[in-house]
Order: sequence, then C-alpha cells, then structure tokens
Amino acid sequence: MMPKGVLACLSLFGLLLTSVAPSRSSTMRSVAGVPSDAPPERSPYRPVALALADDGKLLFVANQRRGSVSVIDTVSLKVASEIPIGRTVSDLVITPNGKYVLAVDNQPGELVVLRRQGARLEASLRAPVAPFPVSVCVTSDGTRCVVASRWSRRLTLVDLSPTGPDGGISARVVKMIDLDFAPHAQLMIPQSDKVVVADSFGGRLAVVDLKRGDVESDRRLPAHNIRGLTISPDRTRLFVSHQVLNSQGSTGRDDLHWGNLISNGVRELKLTSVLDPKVDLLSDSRMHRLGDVGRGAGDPAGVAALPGGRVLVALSGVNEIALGAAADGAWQRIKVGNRPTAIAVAAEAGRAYVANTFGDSVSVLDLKTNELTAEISLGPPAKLSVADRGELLFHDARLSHDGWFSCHSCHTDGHSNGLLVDTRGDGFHGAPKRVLTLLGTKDTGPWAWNGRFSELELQIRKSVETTMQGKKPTAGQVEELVAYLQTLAPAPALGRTRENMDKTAVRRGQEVFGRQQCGKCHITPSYTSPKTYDVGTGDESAGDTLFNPPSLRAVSQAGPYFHDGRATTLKEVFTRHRHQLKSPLEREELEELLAFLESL
Amino acid sequence: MVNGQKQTVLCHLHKVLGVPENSDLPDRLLLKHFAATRDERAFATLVRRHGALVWGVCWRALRHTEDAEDCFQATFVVLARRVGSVRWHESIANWLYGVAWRMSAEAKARRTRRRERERQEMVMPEESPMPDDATRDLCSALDEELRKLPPRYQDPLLLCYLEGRTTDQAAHLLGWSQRTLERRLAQGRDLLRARLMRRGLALSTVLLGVSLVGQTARASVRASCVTSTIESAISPTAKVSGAMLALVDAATKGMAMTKLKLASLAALLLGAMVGSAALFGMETASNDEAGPVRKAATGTPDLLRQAALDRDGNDMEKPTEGAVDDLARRTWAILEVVEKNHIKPPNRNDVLLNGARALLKAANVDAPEDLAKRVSGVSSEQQLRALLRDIWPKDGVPTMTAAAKLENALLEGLFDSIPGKPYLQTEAALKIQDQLRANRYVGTGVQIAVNEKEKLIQITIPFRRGPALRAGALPGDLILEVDGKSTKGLVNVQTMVQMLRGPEGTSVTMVVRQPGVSETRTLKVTRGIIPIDSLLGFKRAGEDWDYTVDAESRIAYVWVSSIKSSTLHELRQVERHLQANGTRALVLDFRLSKGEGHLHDAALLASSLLDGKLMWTARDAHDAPKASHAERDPLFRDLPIAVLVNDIDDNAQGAVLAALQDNRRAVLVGEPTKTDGAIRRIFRLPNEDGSITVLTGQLERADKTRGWPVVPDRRAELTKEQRAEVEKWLRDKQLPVLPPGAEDRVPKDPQLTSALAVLRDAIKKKDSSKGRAEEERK
Repeated sequence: MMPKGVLACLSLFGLLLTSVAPSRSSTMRSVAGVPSDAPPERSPYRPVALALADDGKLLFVANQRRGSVSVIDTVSLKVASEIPIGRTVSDLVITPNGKYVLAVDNQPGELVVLRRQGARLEASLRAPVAPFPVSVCVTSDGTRCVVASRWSRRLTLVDLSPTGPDGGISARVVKMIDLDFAPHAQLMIPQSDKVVVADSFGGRLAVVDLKRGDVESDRRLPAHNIRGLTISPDRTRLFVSHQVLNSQGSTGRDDLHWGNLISNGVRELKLTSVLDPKVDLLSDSRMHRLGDVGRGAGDPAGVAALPGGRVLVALSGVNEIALGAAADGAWQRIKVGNRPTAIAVAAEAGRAYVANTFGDSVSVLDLKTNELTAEISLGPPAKLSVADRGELLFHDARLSHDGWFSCHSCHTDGHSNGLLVDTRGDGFHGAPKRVLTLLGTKDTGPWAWNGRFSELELQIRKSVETTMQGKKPTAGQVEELVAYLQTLAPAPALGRTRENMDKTAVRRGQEVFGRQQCGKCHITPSYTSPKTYDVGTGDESAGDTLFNPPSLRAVSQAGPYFHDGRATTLKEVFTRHRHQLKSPLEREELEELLAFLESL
Repeated sequence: MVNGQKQTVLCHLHKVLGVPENSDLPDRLLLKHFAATRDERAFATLVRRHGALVWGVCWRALRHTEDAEDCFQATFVVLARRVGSVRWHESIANWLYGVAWRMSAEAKARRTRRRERERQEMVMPEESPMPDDATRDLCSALDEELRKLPPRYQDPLLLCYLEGRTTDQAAHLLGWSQRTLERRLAQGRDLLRARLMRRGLALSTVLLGVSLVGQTARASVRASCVTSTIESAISPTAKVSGAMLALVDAATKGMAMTKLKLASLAALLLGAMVGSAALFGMETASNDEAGPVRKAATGTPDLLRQAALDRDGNDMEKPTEGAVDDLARRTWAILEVVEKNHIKPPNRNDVLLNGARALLKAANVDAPEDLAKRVSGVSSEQQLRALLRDIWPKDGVPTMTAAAKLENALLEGLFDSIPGKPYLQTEAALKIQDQLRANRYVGTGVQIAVNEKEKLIQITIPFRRGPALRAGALPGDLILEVDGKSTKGLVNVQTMVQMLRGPEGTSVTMVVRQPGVSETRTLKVTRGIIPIDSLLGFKRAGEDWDYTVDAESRIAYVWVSSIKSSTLHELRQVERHLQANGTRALVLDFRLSKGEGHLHDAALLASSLLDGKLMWTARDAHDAPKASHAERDPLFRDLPIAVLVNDIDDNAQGAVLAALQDNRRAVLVGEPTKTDGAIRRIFRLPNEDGSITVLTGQLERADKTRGWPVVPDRRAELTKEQRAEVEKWLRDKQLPVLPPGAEDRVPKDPQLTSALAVLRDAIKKKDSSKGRAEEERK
C-alpha cells in the first residue's frame, strides 16, 4: 500500500518529468505560449522584479501571482500594457541589446524568452529548465543566461543564439550545475564569466564559473535571508542585503530591543575577495547596519548601489526604503508601498523604482530630492482571501517588537533558515533549537520541538508574543496566519526535483526504513507522530530531552538535522550520530535508505 | 444541569456588589497601572471584579459579618502592598482566592484563641445561621478542593463558577483563547468532580450548596465595606480595624520574603537605582556617591523588624506555626535547587545539620544529641517540617523579630556549608536588577537623597540625557513642590519616589531651588526612557563623547563601565563613529567596571570582537562541556586593541577579558583580576519566594593552559594616590555635568600610558608590514 503523500508527490514528479524531458532545446515559436488558465482579473499582481529598457523610458514588471508582465511608461507614469506570459513569474531581465525579455515561470519550470519591440512583447519560446526556477541573469554579451532553481538546487546554463536575420532566437540548455544549497538571488559579474549565487534561506554564497561550468567557491556569510545582490558602479565592491541572527542572542525582550538577536544590514564585500576562492570572503568587508533601537528595519530585500557611493535598500518588512551613504552609516528612511522588494535604478533620469509586492504598485523615488514622486498602481485592487491576508502578516515585521523581523525572516518563504534560535520554548536559556520549516506544517502537529502545542494557533500566538515580543495578535490575525500556513505544501523532495532517482534503491531504502523501525516514530503519511521521544540527543545544559519527531516529508531540503543542527547532512544522521539504528547499516543499505529519504 | 446552577450563582453574585464593572482590562494591567499611578479607579475595579469571590471565601469560612469583612479588607490591603513585588498573572482570581482562604483560616484560629481568653467575660456574637450543617460541609469541601487545584484549572473555575462570568469574558480576563479556556474549564471541572467524589460529594450538589449560602442573610459584602477596603488599601493612613491589620501582618509575614541577605525594599530604595519596565517608571534614590549602578545591596532584616513593630509601637504577637511551616517549605525548596543544580552538590544532611545547629545556637538552645541522626532521617518536606517544629523553641518565639533571627540563622547555616555560598534575592530586587541590565527605564532621571540640614529632598544627580536634566535640573536642587503639593518637611525618599514616578510621556512639575539661594525655579519634566550608557569616552563633547586619547596616532579610548543588554548596541555605535574618524587603534578600559554579572551579555560582547573564535567552555555538574564560539561578524576588524584591567571581581567581565587574551585579540595591560570563572545561576523559588543564586558551573578558558584569575600580558601598576585619582576620573564620567570647579583633567595613569605605547607599536608594525608588502608588489 502506498501512502497518500507519496502518491501526491509522485504525480507532481510525473508532471515535472513530462515538462522537462521532451526537449532540451526550443526554437522561436510564432505564438506566445500563454497558458489558457490565466488568473482571474481580480487576483493580486505581486510584482517581484523590475527591468528598465530604452534608456529608462520603459519599466518591465514581473507579476508573480498573475503570471504576467506589466509595462510602465515612465514618462507618463502609467501602465502601458499587461501581457500574460505564464503561471508564476518569479524574475525577469532584459538582454543587453534590449531585444529580449527573459523571464522564469516557476510552476511549469520554464525559461520564457519574449521578443520586445518597445512596450510590446511579441512572441516567445519556452525552454524547460531545472524545476522551480526563481531567478535569471544574463551575460554582458547576451549570449548566455543562467537560471537558478530553488528546490532542485541547480543552475541551468542556457545558450541564446540568433537563428536568423529576422531576430529569431534559440535557447539551448548547455549545462546543469548542482549546488549544495537552494539558490535564490544571483548576480552576473560584468566581464568575468562569473556569477555569484546566494542561498535562498541560509548564508551560503557561491561563485560559479560559466566557462568551465563549475562551482568555483561555496562559502558562508554570517547571514540568512539574503535577498539582494548588487555591485558598486566602480565594480570593486559587492553589496549583499541580508539578516543576521546572533547565536549568542535569545528571544528575550532585552536582546530583541537592543538588536542583540537579529540585525538587518547590507554587507559590503570586496569583489576580489569574492572572486578569489582562497581568501577569506569577509576580509576587508564592512557591515552596514540598517535600523536602530526603537526602529528596526526588518527583512531587507532588493539593494542598489548608486553613483556617488550611495546605497538604496528595500526594507520589505516595514514598508520603507533606506537610502544612505555607505561611508558614514547614516540612513534616511522613506515610506513606500506594502512590502517593497525589488529596485531598479535609472541613473541618468535620477530615479529609482521600487516594486511593492503586496501593494501591487511601483513607487518612484527622485534621487536628487530623495522624495517619492509617484506610486503607480498596477491595476485595480485585488480581493484578498483570508490566507492572502495571512501571507501579508507573515511577511510583516511590524508584528515584532520595533519591527526587527517578521515570521518570514527565519521561516524564509515559509521554509527555514536552518539556523538555531534560543526561543526559550522550554523556559530555559541556552538551549537554542533549529528553526523548523513551515512547508507542510498543517499535517505535522503537535508543534514546537517539545510538542507543546496541540494547536497551530497556540504556536502562532506564542511565537508572536514571546519570540517576536510583539503585541498580542488578534483572533482575526491568528486565524489569517493559520489559513496562510495551511496553504503551504511540503517542499518537493530533492531526489524528485533532481530527476535522478534510482527507483530500485528507493524501494530497497523503504525496506531498510521498515527494518530499522523508523516508522514507529516517523509514521506515514506525515512521517511524524504526535508523541515526544528521548532519542539521546538532549544533552545541553538546560532544556528538554524529549522531542517531537520532525516530519520526514522533504527531509532532503530541511538540513541541518536534529534539534540543535548537530548533523549537517542526512548521511551524518546515520554515520556520525547513528540515529536510532536497530542494527548497523551496511554501506549499501545506507545509500538505499538515503535514496528513500530523499524521495519523500 | 450544571448550567442551571451556574445561573443561580451568577444571579447571586451580581446582587452582591451591584456595581457594574467599568473596565475589561486584564487584572495584571490594572495592577501595573495601579502600581505606577496609585490610581484609585484601577484598584476599585479590581475590588469590584473579584469582591464577590473574596467575600464568598471569607463568608463561607467564617460566617460572621465583621470577621469576614476584616478578612475581605485584609486580602485587598495585602494585594495593594504586594502589588510591585509579585509577578502577576493575567487574572489574580486564584491569588486572591488563596490569600482570602489563608486569611480566613488565620482569622478563624485567632477567633478560637480569642474566645478561649474571653470565654468567661463575655458572650461572643453568634455566627449567622447556615441553612444546615451539611451545606457548611459542602462549602468547606469545595474551598479546600478548589484551593488545591493547579492555577490553570483553578482560574477558569473561579471565574466561571464562583464569579459567574461567561466563558468568553473569562477567556479575555485570563488572556487565553476561548478554546483553551473551555478545555481547561472542562478538565478542571472533571478534576474537581473526581476529588469531591472521593469525599462522597457530587459537584452539582456542592455548587447548589454554595449558591444556597449566597442566599442567606448578610451573605453579601456591604457597600460600606467595599468603600473602606478601597480606601484602606490605597491610603496607608486610612482608619482600619486592628484586627484587620493583625491579619495583614500575619499574611505578610507568612508570605514574607527571605530575610537573609535580603535586598530589602528599603535598602534598594536607599542604595540602588530603582527602575521599572518601559511602560511605568520609578525614580531613583541614592545616598551613594558611587553612581546609580550598583549591585542590589545586602540588607538586614530591619525592614521586617520595623514592620513588626510599627503598629502602636508594640512588637508583634507570637508567630504562628504557619511561620515554621513556611520556613520548612522554603528550606526544602532551597535544598532541592542546590542538589539539582550545584556544580558539586554538598551532602544534603550536612547542609541541613549545619543549618539546624545554627538555628539552635541562635535560640540559645543546646543541640540535642541525636540531632545528626534526626537530620539524616529527613527525606521529604513533611519530615523537614516535623523536624523544624520539633527543634523550634518549645516555649515559643516571643516576637516576629526573634523568629526572623532564627530563620536567618538557619539559612546562614545552610549557606555556609554550600560551596560558593548561594544568596537569596527578593522578587522586587530581581526585577530591578533585570531593569538595570536591560537599560530601559522610564522616569524623570534623577537620583535623590535627603538633605538633613534643610530637611528637604535633594536632587543629587540629574542623569545624563535624562528628562530632568533636559528640563533644567541641577545637581543639588532642593525639591520644594511636586505637582503643586508642597514637600516641605518630607524626608522620606520612598514617598518622593512615588510622587515622581509615572508612565512614559506623562509629566511632573517640580519647584526647586539651589541650597543657600532663595530664588526658585519651576521644572516641567516629561518622563521618558533614561539611557544609561555602559560605554563612555575619553572626554566630554557636549551630550556626546570624544573618544580620542591620542590624536596623532589616532587612538580611541572607551571605558566599559559595565556590561549590560545595551552594551553590544553601544559598541556598534562607537564603531560607526570611530570608523568615520579613521581611528587606527582602540583602548578598552575595564577598570572599575561594574558587572551586572550576566554571562549572556558578556558572551554577546566577546562574540562581537572575536570573529568566530572559541570564547570559553562552560562545565557544569550534569552535561557535556559546552563550548561557546563567537559570531563571524566582528566589530573593529583588524584594529589593534589594548585592554586596561585591574582587580575587578565580576566573572562576566573576567570571561570577556580571558577570551580576548586567549585569542590574542587584545593586549591586556594592568593588574591581575580577582575573577575565578565561577558560573552562578539564578533559580526562582516556588510561591514567589524570590530567587536563589547557586554556583552551577565553571568556565574553562579557550587557552587551556591558562586559568583564573586573568593575568595581564603587560604589568603596570598604579600607586594608591594614582588609583584614587583614576577612579575619581572614571566615576566622574557618569556625572551629567562635572561639579562646579572640577575639570575634565586626565590624571596621571601609567596603565593607560603603557597601553598607548603597546598600540603605537602595533600601528607602526602594521604600517611597516604594509609598506613591505607594497614594495614586494613593486
């Protein structure tokens, strides 16, 4: 008998397989590949990426929820058109010659190439890439683009070549590069064939050489929730916007108040240190802290380096942007729309555009007066569901004391930053616990490491009031957050997104799982159980020894492992920590067990 | 079925007070508000809200209007007195219920004693008639069983069944979700039902019985009693009955905080800064020149003695057996905490024996020969209680003072035999300590003291960047009026503190004058947060600091006057400032640094300087050693640091110094510390008995070849005179403005000179290696 969850996963996998398998190369088709099930008129836009064209006269906006691109005429400050291009558009760029718009469609997992003529996006081709693409960037000569895919932890290198004098283009996948982490932001280093790729959740920063097609370095910043990468105009410094979780801090009022637990900032790295794999990534780097006591700057997102040494950062958790001179650390904060994430700068025009993801609008900032001159609405306001409102709250740092962080800060995009936080859930200092993913959380009660909360609602209340030290949430807010969390499906298993699963090994691994009686605590289909167990891992100076087993759904995406993150890889769980093994594992058995776990 | 009775009870209860509630704020907030403002309305709301409950307990136990009224009043007076010293839950129903019950039990015992004395002389008034004996039994059964339930079940039962609230009202008052409330109510009801069953009673019958009592004559509290209760609780001078006062004292005594090493309220008010959480603030009062930040003082039981004496100047009557039981309970809790957590727990029998001997010695009684044997037989709280009752002087202890002395002796005896001598702190002291650490106090920002000559209260220091200083207060200002009220002849610092404190954003108007000057000034002070910096610079620069100690070599100086929650934040600010100034090296002065003693804050500080390195390893009795590593996010990256150190004894500071030295992050200059790397932890004692601080672990240095104390890399000593001057110079940094005539003159300081030499060398070395590297590149 096959458990329900696995069936669902398999069918998803099947779908992915068909979309990716047939062809690795596509040529221009004459008709845009617009899916027939375009979202209803009143659904939110959720703009997430911006790109400027024609010397800043046109602004292209990627609308994630509507699967469309809005084109804004920056002279009249009006939306010229909205073109549906897919299901969930997560990023877009314009090729250096300005002729093409490249976008990624997350759900079918495709790179979408659109030919541009002024504000018109005429035709497109769709090339399958590694599943769950989140960002795209293009080389300075426009011959190649790189697509980063989150759950498959891969980069897809795509060659773009003209097919003829008529402006046709072909896209050919030349290589898939495996990463050790789930990527999100990426930045092409001009004239270098190198791309910097940042972690979706934690603090990894990799440099990938496009010529050789390999990962040149994979290092760690003291950071998480990296949402912005940019390079200084003189191309010597790299700016990375992110949050820092201090492992010495705890979630008490005092540490939160004084910025001892979470701080928000932009780290300025020396480009030579970034590109040289042998030197310390942090050497000669500087941290610019955003926000202050009494006024946190939760969830910094998009960042832009302006001429004259100024830096502009979107503070997505507090609906502001921060504009400052990196040299003196003084920041001016300006209120914009709801959840500003992406920034585009038209240097000549002295303007910056900010995409307000939850505001369904674009704010226009005059860089000479440092004032907002307009807020362009992308369309009529959407009707938000209860879960939609929960999503807004989930990303709202104002839920926490002084706006230092939101739920999303640690549960980045509903997942986990993989770090340890001392939330004192067991009433003690000094026993920090790993942040758990919230993807699929509705099926994995009870909540908290010690299984203290039988209702998701109670865990939410506790988190807001004690971890975030925020005001007591209203019953309505809690209901909305619950509704939002219930929409979060488990992350797809790495074994499935990588499409390299050995079915026999998985089947055998399932037998090992049975033989070792793993299913006693990790009960199908959620691979957890409501009880708590002492598995011999509770050895800290204070706190619990009994833990609620975390779900094994998408366990391949959930590391590090155990309540204190003591095992960095799934393999280590068995090799180093011999987690609850009834009998020693043969090497082959271990590989099979891992294959099975990676399929969940 | 139950619902029907609930309705009956509810109707009855609404009749009791006849006053609608005028606020739906949870009790905790009302108390907080009351604590800060002494707002009568807040207190009245509480009396009205829970009056029926308290009255019910008292009435059912005593069935005598005057006695019940005394208990009723005493319960609320105790509430008013303890308002600042208890960590309140959302609802205080169960606290009131417990106090009222104890109060009634005490009143009953007194009544029995009194009757025995008065038997021949007069006829006591009769108890009011109860419907029948069976009902009386039902009531006492209910109260006894209810009292024993854990608060989470007791609260919903009290609110819903005895106060007649709806479930959503109760959920609101308790700050729970409706679902939680309903679940706990159901669980509590089941528990209660089961327990009553054991007594052969059905819950429904008992509830009916209780409602019947409510219908008897004089069963509701008189409006006059409510009014006088509010009055006497709020105003200490209100006329109240002696019986009630005796009850209050008995109750306060029963709940009295530990008297040993008692950081008593009086000591705190006189000796240390009194702060409060951000919303409602207190003022500070000090006679201490050393500045506002000081460890909670070690007090004497004077306060207690005073409390015992101050009714009509008579010493209190004989302590009851309850006092001994309380002592047994507290002693047992202490023994448990020590045994569970102490790094090397001593033998429990030895500890107890030492305590028992000390108690007997203080009582001038010879220890019985079999004392050791009897002590070794103690393995439960009950047995300890029996032992203490047994050795407690047979002919009784004459006074409260004497009882307190015996108690002190016992605890001293216990603690003397526990390595790293533990100490106790009251809830109030803990709270204040936390606030000091947190650096978030609200107030007017003055330190006050009594000026004996003028018989007035005087502002000794208006704090730097504090609201009073901003309003124009000067050191030495004598306070003549507060908010239009003359304070002539007022020499009670505590009363003045009460007058000055209030919530953030509110204001207070003071009329002041300087001593020897007749001209008065009016200051309007808006209460706000008073930041008390832990990091101070080299010289004053207006409201800010000039950190430059050597302009030519661009070396900056920071005095780490203490380590608290804000220190990391302050250091980040300093870094930003120094970076902008192109600073090349830094002196961190830890001399005279006062610890708030928290390893947590020390770890945050050390971590911010050490770039991922091992800071130290903590060992305790139970677990594997725990290594602490710094974050990879250091401040002052690549900047040479020298640290000035002398005989400081705070282990949190010591830990930072050791970590800097072991990782060669700083050169330590000066004299050895007096730190020993001991880790102490604070444990709260049950029943709001304050806390005990116990030696639980030992810090091991990152460099395992080194131990404690921390010995500087470079020795430099000060003469006695130099030291006195340096310390004065450091202390003066905490003054908002220098006293008239004083100059910010840097004293002769060989330790600083030595540190500067070290740093100039380091800068030189850096320059030359940089030069070499550049040459090589060429």
